[in-house]
Amino acid sequence: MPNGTSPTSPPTPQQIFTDLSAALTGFDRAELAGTGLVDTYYDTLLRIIGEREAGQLLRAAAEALETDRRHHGNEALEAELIDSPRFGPVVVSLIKLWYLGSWYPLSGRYRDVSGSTADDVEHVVSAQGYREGLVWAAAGAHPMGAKPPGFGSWAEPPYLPPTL
Amino acid sequence: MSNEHFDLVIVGGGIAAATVAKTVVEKAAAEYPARHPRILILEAGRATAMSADKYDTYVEAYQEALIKVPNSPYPASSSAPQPDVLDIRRPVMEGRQTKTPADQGYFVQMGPLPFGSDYARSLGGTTLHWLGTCLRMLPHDFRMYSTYRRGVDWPLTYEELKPYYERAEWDIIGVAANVDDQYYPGFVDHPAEFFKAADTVRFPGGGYSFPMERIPSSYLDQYLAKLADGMTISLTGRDGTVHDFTVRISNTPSARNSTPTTPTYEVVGAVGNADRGQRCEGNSSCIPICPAQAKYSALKTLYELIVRYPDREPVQGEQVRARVAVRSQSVVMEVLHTQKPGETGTVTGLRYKTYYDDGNPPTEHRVTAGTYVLAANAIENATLLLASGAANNSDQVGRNLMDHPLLLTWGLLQENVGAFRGPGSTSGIPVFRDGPFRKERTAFRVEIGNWGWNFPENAPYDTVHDLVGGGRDGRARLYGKDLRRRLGEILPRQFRIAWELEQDPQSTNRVTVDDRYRDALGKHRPVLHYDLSEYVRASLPWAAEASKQLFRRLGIDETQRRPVYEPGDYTHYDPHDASAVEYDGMTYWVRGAGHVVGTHRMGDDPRSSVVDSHQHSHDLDNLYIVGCGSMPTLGTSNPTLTMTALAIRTGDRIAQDLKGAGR
Amino acid sequence: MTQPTPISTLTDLKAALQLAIGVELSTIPVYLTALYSIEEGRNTDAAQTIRSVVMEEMLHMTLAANVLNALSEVPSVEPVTFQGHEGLVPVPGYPLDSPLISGIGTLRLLPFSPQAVDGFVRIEHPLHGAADVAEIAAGACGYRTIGEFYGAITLALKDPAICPDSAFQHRNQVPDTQYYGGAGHVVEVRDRASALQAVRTIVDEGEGLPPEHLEHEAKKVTTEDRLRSGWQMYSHYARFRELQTGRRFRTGQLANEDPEGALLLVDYGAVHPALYVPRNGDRADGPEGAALIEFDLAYSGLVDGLYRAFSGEPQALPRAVHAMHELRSRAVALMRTRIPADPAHTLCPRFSYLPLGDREKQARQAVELREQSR
Repeated sequence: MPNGTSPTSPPTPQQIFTDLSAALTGFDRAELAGTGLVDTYYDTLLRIIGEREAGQLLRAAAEALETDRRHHGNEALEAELIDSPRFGPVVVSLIKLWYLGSWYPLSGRYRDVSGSTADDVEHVVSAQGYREGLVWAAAGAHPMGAKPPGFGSWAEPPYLPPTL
Repeated sequence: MSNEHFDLVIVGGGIAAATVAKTVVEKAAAEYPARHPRILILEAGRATAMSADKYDTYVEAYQEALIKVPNSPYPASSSAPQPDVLDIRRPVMEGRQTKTPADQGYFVQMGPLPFGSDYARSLGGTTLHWLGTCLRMLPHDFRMYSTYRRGVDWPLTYEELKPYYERAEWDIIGVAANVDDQYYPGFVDHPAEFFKAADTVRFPGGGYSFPMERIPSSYLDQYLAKLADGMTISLTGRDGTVHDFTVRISNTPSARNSTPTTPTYEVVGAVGNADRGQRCEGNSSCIPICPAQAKYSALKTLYELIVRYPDREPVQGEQVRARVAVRSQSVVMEVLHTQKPGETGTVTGLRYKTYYDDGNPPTEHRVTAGTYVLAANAIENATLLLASGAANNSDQVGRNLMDHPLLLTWGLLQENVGAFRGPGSTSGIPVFRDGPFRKERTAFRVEIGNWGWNFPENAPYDTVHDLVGGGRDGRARLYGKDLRRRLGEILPRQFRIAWELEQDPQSTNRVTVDDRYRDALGKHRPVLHYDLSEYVRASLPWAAEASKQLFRRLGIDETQRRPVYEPGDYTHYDPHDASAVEYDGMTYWVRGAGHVVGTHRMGDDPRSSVVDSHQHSHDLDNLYIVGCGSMPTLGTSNPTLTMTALAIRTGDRIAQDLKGAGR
Repeated sequence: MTQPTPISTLTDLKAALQLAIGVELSTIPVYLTALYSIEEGRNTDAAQTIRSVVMEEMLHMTLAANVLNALSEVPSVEPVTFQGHEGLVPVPGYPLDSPLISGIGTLRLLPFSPQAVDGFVRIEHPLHGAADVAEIAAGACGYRTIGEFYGAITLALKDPAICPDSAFQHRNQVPDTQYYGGAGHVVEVRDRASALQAVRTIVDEGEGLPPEHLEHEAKKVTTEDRLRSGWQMYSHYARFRELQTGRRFRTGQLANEDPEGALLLVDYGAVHPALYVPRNGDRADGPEGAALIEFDLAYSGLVDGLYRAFSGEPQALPRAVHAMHELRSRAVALMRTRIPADPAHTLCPRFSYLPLGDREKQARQAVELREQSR
């Protein structure tokens, strides 16, 4: 059961956000929680696209994820979010946020329709965001300038955990 | 205007200053009778962290920086601005004339090419963000004119400088390397001969060892050695002569902490927290900042000086000792002197301004000393001397500005080599550092980079952008586990080489001052004229061809371009880049290496040089001008180690000449 | 008044040293749990203090191993028989009630908190918080304090009837040049004198501190200390007293006084609310449960690596250091992760040493738990 909820209670917005983030990044919810950034990035999303639009996005995400869970696929996510002109650009920025710790602004086309907020500019969300960028784990490395792997570790053969 | 007197005043708070101060203090105390000078170090920039918790804030600043350039962790004031690689633009030229200088930022670039390097104006200087490569120069590097009829000879030979190299490696910097790994041209099969110790007391029998064992070679180095060691690279000279070079991957001496070679060597850890930084931990961010402080920075030496030799009267029962004061945010505006053009003279004081950044105007001060040392970086030394009309009977001040023009080549390897792990570089290919070909084109050093395409392609950022997409269609190309897997296939296979070309001294490559260009404090900004000579440019096609032969050997010779990711050669040079250089109909990108050298060259003849071999001004009898600026030629070694050796030699001389000064 | 049980045979001395390695190891997870629970960049003074003690415990482990090696015995995680007590396990689980030393109390894995620091002070106090050693009930093995235990080891090492000169050999030593990160120097043991010097280092720095040292100055920092490790003139007890009271000792104060110097700023709010749940009390399945198991596997590998390094395998030590770095990242990640069924708390690493035979099964289970969420 996602996030240990009982079958009857609907998932909280944060839980939907976590599950969506897991589907978009390929890192499971414990790996994401381990970055300590789930709450920060949830807030970032709301700050940048607005609560109202975030509510639409998370409703669409919850439905798509539930459909895909039943069918053991990702067709709904693909159709309702990735391919969606409304949510697609947000998804792109969200993936980059998780991987790089920086927010990359939404496109002009998105803004033409949905508008923009003052915070929607390129910025490093926080030093921790940089340190916990998923790109480093995906590369089998560590963030440059943080989490050092120890003296001589670079001489050892590289290791990448098998992606399930 | 306040006036104070010291035995020795040093302008600048970087490695040259720290080395001179430490050497003078220790050497003078060992003289008979012992002397204990009072020393002032004037630093233009801010004081930097002298405790580990404060240092961490600089690490945090780097992590939060949007663009992680070398100076990103170190804030500068408009009262002591510093060059930044983000400000590099191309001046607009009309033929050889500058139509519009590129004057964004601190430098005023007159062209035709922009000078591509920066430095840090902060306590600790550019050692805050150096890579830490500590290669000695080769014997021929000191005899370029005699050997190859290029450049000039030094007033020193390698053998004469050797004892100071040993002291620099042991007593100031702390260098990690194994002699047996150093396959330099001329010494390929007998590195021990190159390193045969000058100090036979410390090294009985002359068998030299570094204070620390080699920093382990990266897995990438080992992979390259497996595939390419022993291969021959053939390059053709102008007259059709084929020059064969046998590749041997060689572990690079570096200023980072490793296993001591003897239990008596004490590894120096972080400033204010010696438990930290006792070994390189593999933070993979030597540039811009080593979070562990396992890499040497001048802060270590400065910290030792202010702890051991505080600037106060000895309390009762305490031994008399030297006193070292460090004053930051103090910019020397003028060297006051008695010199008239064509004659010699004496420095009579320094005029400096202290700025506050708190809304109050700067205050002006004057300081006098028995001996003066300029150690403020080659460009800053030259700017100050030119603005002061000092020490320039030779007309060489500011001239012969040099760097290591750096050509990058990069590719995607066939196998996962674990890129983005370890120090910036752990090995190189030394074979191109010397040879008869230096008569017609410059030598070059080959640095193998451990951080994937971080330098040439802004990886991993741009790699993620390529894969995730966005932009016009606003749709994620890859996401989820596919994205994670694909990044794992690409990033650890990224690989780049820097081909660092020796630059020859040219009198037209120079620092000048112009009253129209001043900073907030009224100090002259450096006005730079810079180009690459035919001699340097002729090595660009050689480096490019050597890269092609090496990449072929590695099975990555097929030309590829992002956003496609397949094993291959991704090297490409866009002609519109600020660093583009044309040669023989081809375009190359030539970046700066951060090696700012040659603006007050040393020599025996006062008519053609600014300082003598002790970095003593030919013109002003109580002035030493130290740093990379004194180097007549550059060779293929990163200059800091050689500069440190020279500074020790100067420190010895100053200590001897202190005579009655100090107590 | 009961006297500590003397060690009277070489076999018992070796067993005692096997257990001494374990005693040093047993405090490390206690300190690390507190250290890693501190939010990144916060409580820097407290973190530095705890870290300095951890580094010294590591040194003490190494020293104990060097002494044992010099007596031609390989350090091992296998249970030993000591003073007639069978099945004493050197590598502990938590919560730990030491079968060896009765006064030390229960060692628990707690995030950084006043309660945790009280525990640290108790561990490092010469009498583990008691006013008089007579107050402490003697346990099965007859040692009330760590000091008594090392006292017995010292007496045995001094006694040629128990270990003749020929019993000491320079073998499998971890050399000083291989040890770094603070905490002074490794003593290579080659004879009785160096063996006694190694044990003295353990006692002087750490939790085996003789009670009379409380009457000494708490710290004495010189210029050399400022340039090197400023902790060398400080006992663990004094360091933790500073944390406990939120004050530094002033120069000249005695270790048994209340520190009266500068404030030591401690913020117990800037700490992850990690909650230790023993292995059999699993409240986290799914990927959170997997992460806990993966930590235990990494910790077990690290302990094995250390023991290999103590057995003369030169490549094992650097690899163990890499494992320590990895363990830290894993621990921090766990402490940020909420327990799904108890969101007020976060996961706490269990530092559970898994038997070799059990690891494959555990690794399989971790994979299965991860898959539950995919």
